[in-house]
Amino acid sequence: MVAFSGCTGKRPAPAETPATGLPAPEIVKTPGDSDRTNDSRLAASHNITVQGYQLLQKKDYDGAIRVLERAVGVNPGNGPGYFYLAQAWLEKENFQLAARFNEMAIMYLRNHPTWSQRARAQKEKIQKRKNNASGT
Amino acid sequence: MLRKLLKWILGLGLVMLLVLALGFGYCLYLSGHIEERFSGRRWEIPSTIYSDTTLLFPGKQVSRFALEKKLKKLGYQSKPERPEKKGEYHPGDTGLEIYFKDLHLPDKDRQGFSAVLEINQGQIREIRRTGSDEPLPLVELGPEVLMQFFGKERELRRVVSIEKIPGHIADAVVATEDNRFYSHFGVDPVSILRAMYTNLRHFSIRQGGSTLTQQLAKNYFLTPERTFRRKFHELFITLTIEAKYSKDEILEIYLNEIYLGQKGSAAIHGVGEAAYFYFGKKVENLTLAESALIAGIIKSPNLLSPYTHPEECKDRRDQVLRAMHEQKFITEPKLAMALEDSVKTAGFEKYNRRAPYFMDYVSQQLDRLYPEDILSSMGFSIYTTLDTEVQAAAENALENGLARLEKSIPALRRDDPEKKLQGAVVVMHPRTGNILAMVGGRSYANSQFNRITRARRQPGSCFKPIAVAALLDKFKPSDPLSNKKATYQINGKPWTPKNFGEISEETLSVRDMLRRSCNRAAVDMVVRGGPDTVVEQIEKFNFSTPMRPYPAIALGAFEVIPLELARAYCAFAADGVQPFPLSVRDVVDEDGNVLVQRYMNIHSVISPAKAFLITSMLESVVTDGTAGALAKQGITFPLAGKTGTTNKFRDTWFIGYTPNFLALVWVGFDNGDPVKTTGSGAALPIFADLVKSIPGHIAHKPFTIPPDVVKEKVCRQSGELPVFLKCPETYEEYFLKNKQPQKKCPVHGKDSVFKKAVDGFTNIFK
Repeated sequence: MVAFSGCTGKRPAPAETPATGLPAPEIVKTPGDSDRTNDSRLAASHNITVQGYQLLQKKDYDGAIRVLERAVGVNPGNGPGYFYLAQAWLEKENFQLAARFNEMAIMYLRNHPTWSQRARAQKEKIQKRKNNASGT
Repeated sequence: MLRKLLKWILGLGLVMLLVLALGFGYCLYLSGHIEERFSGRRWEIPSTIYSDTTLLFPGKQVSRFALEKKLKKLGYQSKPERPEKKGEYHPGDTGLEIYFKDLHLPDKDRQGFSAVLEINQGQIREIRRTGSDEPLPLVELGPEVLMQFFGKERELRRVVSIEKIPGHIADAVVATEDNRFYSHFGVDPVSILRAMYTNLRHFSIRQGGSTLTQQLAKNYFLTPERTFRRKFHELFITLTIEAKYSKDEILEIYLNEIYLGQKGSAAIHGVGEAAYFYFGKKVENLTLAESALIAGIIKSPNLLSPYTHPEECKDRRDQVLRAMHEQKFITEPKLAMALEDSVKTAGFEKYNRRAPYFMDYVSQQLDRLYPEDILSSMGFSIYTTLDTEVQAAAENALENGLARLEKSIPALRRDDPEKKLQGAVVVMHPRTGNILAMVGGRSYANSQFNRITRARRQPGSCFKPIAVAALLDKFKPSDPLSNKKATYQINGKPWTPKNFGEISEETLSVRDMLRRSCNRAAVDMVVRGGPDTVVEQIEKFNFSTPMRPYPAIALGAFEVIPLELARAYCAFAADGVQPFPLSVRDVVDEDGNVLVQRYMNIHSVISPAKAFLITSMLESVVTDGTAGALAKQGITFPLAGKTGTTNKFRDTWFIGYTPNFLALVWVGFDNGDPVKTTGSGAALPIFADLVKSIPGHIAHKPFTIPPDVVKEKVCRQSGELPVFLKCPETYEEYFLKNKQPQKKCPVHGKDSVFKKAVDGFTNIFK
């Protein structure tokens, strides 16, 4: 039987590294959607993403993750949501999960030049931090 | 004589001294016990399991009836006028005005506020804050209580400190139960004499002389037996408590300890719990009249309950109010105002275990974290992913679906409850892995076996998409597969796969093989692709049951655990990413400290492009394949799905999904008796009922096409690029970018004799 545990962990104290320079959230259309900026789920998900972003700014990474999970639950095509999730996991130094969420961010932000660039830069940052942590 | 008297006095003195010394020693001995109880944890508080919260936002589809039902379950009260207090709502012509309660969650602390929800044609049109008219993009309703981990006492209690208990509740209790509480030393001789006089006058026990401290000693330390020994014990405990603790401390313990009513099989203890039980609010928000009511029912909680004996309850409350006035706790105008108040209760549902199979699943996980006695005593709050609306819809759909099936096929009926036709449903959010609903069987009372998490059943054709996903590097969706009758040698024995229904075509594309669930073509694909490759690729899907490299793997011959099958399908719905199924999210202690948090955890199984191809093919199953019946049932939003039926109709399945919703339905007999119909006939209608009853949970959005997918026109027969004017039938198909058709249709593109001659002549001069 698979260990249906999800990712378990006790809440640690906020990390020292600040999550500065994070771009503010904005509604980014899901690739392939013609005109969905008025979509109710998109708006609701965006609103939750804003809350997640604010927690991320306050370095409450656990709180941010919980809120952002909800945001991508409401709109699974929420690119910025995945971007911030990757950021939160990066701050918690879980590089594997950070990389997985970054992949989702890259996929869902691919049609937005600025966000797409941010997601690719985030990928490099994750790799760099991972390398630093492993001493390679 | 004098010497004799002196001797007597001395002897008596010595005896008295001895008694005093013994009494003192006994008090000292008790003091240790009392201190141990009082300084440590005083009460066993059951841990509570909660559902997920509910999000409301403009555009969300909601049934007004379901929303009101939800509000009532959360203890909201309907009002004919605008709501004035937290926990009230007013159903208006165009929607609901709700005064939201405070929300205290591990990651959220929200104060209650009032807002208007405009609902039109089953959709929330707008949410506006009352007063300011500020539009709100999102509001959240609190979680519902699903279960409590009771110890053997089955007591419900919310411990509150004396600082939080309003003065008037303490005054009411003192006025009515022990008006000399602040002046006696634990035992009140005046009160005892008064009680004796009253009882003698009426020749019956009309009044008791017990002080609050004596009642506490009785309830907290002793059994209810009426013996001299117990009375003696009680006296010493009372004196010791009074000597060691302040009056406020004693009152605090008393107000948290006292029995105040019954909620089904669970006992309500303490004013904190009683405030919620009777009035749906925190103790600090109780009014004077409400406090007097609670103080009044201490005398006989069940005979004076506002739920069962409202008139007697009001009389008693008024008695308490008058006693408070007589003893100068309240003024005349306050008394008059409080007496004017009618008795308004919050209403309650009897404690009832909900979503029992899910609760078992959650309990198993909690058991790994905490022993049972901790869960029944430490008052943890356990937040889960369960959505009560989806759970109720899944339970109803299964119950109705199985009953319908038995009605249409009488041979499926069984008298023995343990042998009845069974079914199971699990609903997941494919992206996050959240388990939204779990129904592990038809009746928990008859069978606690959870068929979602513990059964091992053959998945039948539901396994075909997984086999296709494993071979997408070798086969394109348009590639032709053979539907010719073929016999394979398996371990030296011949095996001839058969189709369920008549499929006359000699070849079918991979898409059509899935759409029509063609067994022969599926086996042809696995045999040509290599059963070893299939097994190797399937490992990524995290099945815990063994798979062997036999051609029959294409037909779902190897048993799987239904939850693992649902999880495998999540990868198709979520861009190739498989989530861990989540049920427990947070465990929080009484002080709000988060002890455990579980997060969404994802794992890449196949590429987003491959996941999309599978989804696209499974959309065909729904639009014009074996699940075509869904459209007839009004399900027209983008949906992918697959039916499944095993040999001799032992198992019937349907798995359907959108980008944010996935449900698996299984129907069968535990002993393997035939269901006598297919997945389309047995499981699909249950799925249809389920999704139709929860429109707000399904985003009617198309699946997102990933970057590495291209669309090409191909010849239907060959699956390759069509030859202009030659291929009689073409269609558009999705392909992986690196595996799109390169060659022209070999079936219709054969060169004519004239073209061959021209080409040959041209080549001479090259």
